[in-house]
Amino acid sequence: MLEVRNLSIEFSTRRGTVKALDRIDLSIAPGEIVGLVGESGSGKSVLSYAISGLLDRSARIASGEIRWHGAVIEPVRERRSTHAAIAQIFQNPRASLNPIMTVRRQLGDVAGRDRVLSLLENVRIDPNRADHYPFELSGGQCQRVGIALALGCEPELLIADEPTTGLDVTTEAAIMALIGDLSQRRGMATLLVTHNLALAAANCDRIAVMHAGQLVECGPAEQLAYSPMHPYAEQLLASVPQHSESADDLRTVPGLLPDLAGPLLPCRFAPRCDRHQPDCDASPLSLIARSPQHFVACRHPLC
Amino acid sequence: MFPLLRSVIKRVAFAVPTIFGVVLVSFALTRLLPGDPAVYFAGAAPTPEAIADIRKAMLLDRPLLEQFVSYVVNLLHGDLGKSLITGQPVVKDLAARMPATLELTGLSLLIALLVSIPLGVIGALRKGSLIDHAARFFSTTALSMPSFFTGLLLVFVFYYLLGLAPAPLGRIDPLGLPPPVKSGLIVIDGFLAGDYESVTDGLAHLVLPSIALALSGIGPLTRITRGAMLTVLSSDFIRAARSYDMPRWRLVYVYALRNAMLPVLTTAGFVFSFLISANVVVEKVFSWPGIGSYALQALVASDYAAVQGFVLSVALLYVLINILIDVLYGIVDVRVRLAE
Repeated sequence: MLEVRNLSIEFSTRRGTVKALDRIDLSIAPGEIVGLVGESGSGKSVLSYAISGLLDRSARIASGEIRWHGAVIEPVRERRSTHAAIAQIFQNPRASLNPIMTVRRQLGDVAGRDRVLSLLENVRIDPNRADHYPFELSGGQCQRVGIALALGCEPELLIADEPTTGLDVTTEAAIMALIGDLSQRRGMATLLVTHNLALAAANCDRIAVMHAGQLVECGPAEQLAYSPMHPYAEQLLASVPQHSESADDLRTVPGLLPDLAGPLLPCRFAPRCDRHQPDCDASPLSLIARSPQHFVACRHPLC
Repeated sequence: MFPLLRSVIKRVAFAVPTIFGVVLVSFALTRLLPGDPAVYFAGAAPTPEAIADIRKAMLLDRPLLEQFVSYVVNLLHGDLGKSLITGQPVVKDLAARMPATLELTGLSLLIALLVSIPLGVIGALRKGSLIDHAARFFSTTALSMPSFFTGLLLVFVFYYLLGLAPAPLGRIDPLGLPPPVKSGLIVIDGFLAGDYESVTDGLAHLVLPSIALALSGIGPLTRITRGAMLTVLSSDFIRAARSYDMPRWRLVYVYALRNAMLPVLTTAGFVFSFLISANVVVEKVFSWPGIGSYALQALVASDYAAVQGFVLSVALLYVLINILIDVLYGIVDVRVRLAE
């Protein structure tokens, strides 16, 4: 349904050209839940915005394409003349709602007035809340309204960009359950963008790990969470609190993300990698299939 | 409606100290001005007795504090004193001239808003384009020219050279008959009386002075609209609305513009206050019978009561405008209303 092929995206900034995405390959099938995981600055938001067509005009495709049901779609879709059934929910639920309009007005503008109440029911919000303003709702309720707005577009693909950041743990669980339930009932595919590998492992069919604009590993959630092949995925797992006995065991990924505006090595993780070998710096690296479902971009994987 | 009324009353109450301050300062300032009104009004060859009589009549021989107290007591009775130039009560003079000023200032603000908001929106939507730069050039130029100069320039071009505008001599043709006064605004009174000749003549006289005045307001209003639109257009909820495939007109004119109106409203309040001051000069250039030209005349003659009355009425206008802006704010953004 969605196919991202060899996609590289650059931004022109005052500091130079930022190579935000480097030859990304990713596909999503109907009904599938895919996790897109990486630390801040790994390019996961750029990729999700490219798919939903929300990138700034300063973005430029350096190579590759995004295909939706076989047709090429642009990463910058300002005028929105072509309707692709891709909807997005956002990181900051309250700021993503118009602050001076009621929930009813906003839902009505997107989905039509007659669907407002059924959409609210879908996301389990009391219909009495329809005439409230965003500032009168809790963060979790705002995110539910955000989901209702996205569902109002009848999406085949829902992009959830850090949908639970800033929400408490119980609200996070409720929102994730809601998304899982809705995608199952509607046969809707979901791309869950998160920095939390554990959250992705618990909710997704497949996980794609990104580092510094490169896709480093992509595979079934269970395989990836228990036996990661890429050193970065392994280190990311070790930094998830659930996997450590005590705070002392909790590891961070050493080093910093490379400057994406400067010169870059073929493997952008090389400077931070403890398995780095001289041959890592040679020729461009691409995803290598370790099994039909599991791909890794590493010359010296863990297994 | 009730909370709205309560908030208006609260704001009026808050304005009382401001108004008292204005009363105090305007009183002190007029006393500090050079020139002795008693001498001015005693005539060409006054006798010392005549001057002393006038001083006594104006309470100028009493201590300052006593003068002030008597001024405030009269003020509370709605008595602003008598103008020495016209011989009429100042309240009556001001009331007769206020509609002319409001007509001119109101229309200028309207013109300024009608020009600046589209210019600002286009500037924000096409940032860095030719239109954006042209709009900036236009608004900066308009701002940097004093309004008496643009006024004279407009008179020179449209009256003297082209003959399109009527002579800059007041609100209506001196030979014409003004419609019966109902609202005091000639255009509206003309409509009410079915006197369309007065309507067109009134409008023709209004055009040049209100454009001269409006030009000074276009600069700040365009800048603020453009800046506010840019901020709102890059905000999260606009990006979200884009992702819901909202039609572009709704995105720009309903979602973005309405949120961007809040800072524009605040600026419109400032601009209106500024226009009332700029009015004084423009009214002089166009012989406009408003309170500005009245004040200028009074100032030259050290006509205390008239100057104080002018300062006070301008201060009251500021306060009224601010209350109006606050109320509009509450209508645009419900959060302001509920925060009361």
